[in-house]
Amino acid sequence: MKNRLILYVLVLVILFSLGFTLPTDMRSLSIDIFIFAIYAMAYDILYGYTGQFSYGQAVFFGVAAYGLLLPVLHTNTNLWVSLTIALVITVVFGIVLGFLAVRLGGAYFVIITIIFNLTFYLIALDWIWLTGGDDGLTFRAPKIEFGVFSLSLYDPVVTYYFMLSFLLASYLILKRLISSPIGKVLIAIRENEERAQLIGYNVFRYKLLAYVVSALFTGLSGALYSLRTRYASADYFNIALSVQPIIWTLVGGAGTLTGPIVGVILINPLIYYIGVWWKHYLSIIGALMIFVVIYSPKGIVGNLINKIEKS
Amino acid sequence: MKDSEKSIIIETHELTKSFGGLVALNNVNLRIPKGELRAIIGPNGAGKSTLLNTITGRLTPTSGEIYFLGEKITGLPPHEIARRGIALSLQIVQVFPNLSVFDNIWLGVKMRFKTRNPFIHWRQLKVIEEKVIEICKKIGLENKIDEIASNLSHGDQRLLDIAIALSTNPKLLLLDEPLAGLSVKERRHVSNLIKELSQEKTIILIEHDIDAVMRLADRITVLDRGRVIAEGTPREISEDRQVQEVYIGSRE
Repeated sequence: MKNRLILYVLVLVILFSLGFTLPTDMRSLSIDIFIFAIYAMAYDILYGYTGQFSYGQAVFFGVAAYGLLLPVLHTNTNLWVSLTIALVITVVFGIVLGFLAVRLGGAYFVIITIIFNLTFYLIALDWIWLTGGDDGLTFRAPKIEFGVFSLSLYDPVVTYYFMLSFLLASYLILKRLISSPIGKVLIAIRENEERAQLIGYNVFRYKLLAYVVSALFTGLSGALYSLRTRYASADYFNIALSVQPIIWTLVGGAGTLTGPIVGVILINPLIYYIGVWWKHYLSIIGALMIFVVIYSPKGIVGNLINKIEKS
Repeated sequence: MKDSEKSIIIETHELTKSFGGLVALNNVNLRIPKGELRAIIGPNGAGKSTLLNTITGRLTPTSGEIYFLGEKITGLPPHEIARRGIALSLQIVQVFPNLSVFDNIWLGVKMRFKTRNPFIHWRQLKVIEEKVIEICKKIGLENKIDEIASNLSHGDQRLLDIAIALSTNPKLLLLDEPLAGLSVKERRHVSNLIKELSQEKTIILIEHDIDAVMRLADRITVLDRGRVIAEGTPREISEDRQVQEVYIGSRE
């Protein structure tokens, strides 16, 4: 318990001090990592904790990215309002799609999430008047306003702390969720859906809840990402973006919450540094996946936890 | 007659379940009073498991009604039926494999308690923890409380399965072949446990072990090809000619 507290404090101190000491490129990479770490955790709630293997989370990433962009672009709403709009829209989509998908189990669930993803992608490509299609839309990032204070997202240091605080808040909320009785029921559903139902849990409702919570935090990640890039395009619905959280989660360790973050920390620098000069960089990720699946099937963090528990 | 009406815990009325052409249950009428241990026996394919699956809502009957404590429960989803107080321990052990014994039982006990704050940390629910330990002791798993369910022996998994069923504090406990695949020693333990449980709960027991059935049951219902062919005390059943023919095999 004490060790854990020390670890938390240490991580916080490091993360805080990195904000103004990192060189520009690494700071920029860190900001990406923070944003995608939220996406990764959101996926872990859905797959790692509830056992629902979605192949289409980019839907919520893209919906929220536009949910933030469009109000800012067209009506010049302030940051907090547009972020709220983005998240509300994402939750609505989460409920509707979840209602259709969550009843289906196993492979059917995977397939319907792929179908959702492709549908949204094609619509985003097609509805150029709304989304800008493949070229996308750019916008001016609104100021971060706290009453009379305001900060600019054009300052990378500000962006660093802004995104970091969202990551920490998301971590705390999701950590709390999985440590609550609800979290335990989600795990029970992953372990044995039928048994959970036979002792009186409304499995559909819990699975839908996990789906919507996952959509919400995926959306948060998408909205923050569009805020950071001041841009969104149909590519934000690209199915490749749905594969990423699967890789983060499997490499880092499903059902551990921190594991998927470790996945992001390992994989994104690879893409960032190697992807620039070697176009076949994805093969490294492929090799890493195979390595992890063979030698540490529970993922890196999953394996670590196992070892600690055994000793 | 009114008093006996009141104390009927479960009743099926002309219950029929067919799968395509196969009639698994054929106009089954059952009335089981509170507190009874009712054994259901019959050859393979007689419809015993189908009966339990229909009662718990895992299968919807083709026709007929099921009443639990006087209320119609036909067609309700399984979790609703479970919430009303019917628990099932299946023929094939159903536990939460990667969770500890403690967590397995915790999930059932949690069902009984409404938590006002859904975000409370699960460790703060001390009442539930006490109940879990109580059930573990009762069932004889107190030394294995932190073991992962999938690491338990088959016999212990069976106990855990019964413990999960019990953890919801059901009014009616359905046990589908609880003795199957157990060692002699485990059999004795489980059948003693069933005996003990029958003091406080109504139980429907499906079991092939006739000796155990004769020893445990208050009354026995015999099913054959989906029909009830006899019902009575163990003594009456063992003397019933029709039952002997169908179940034990006819003597020439």
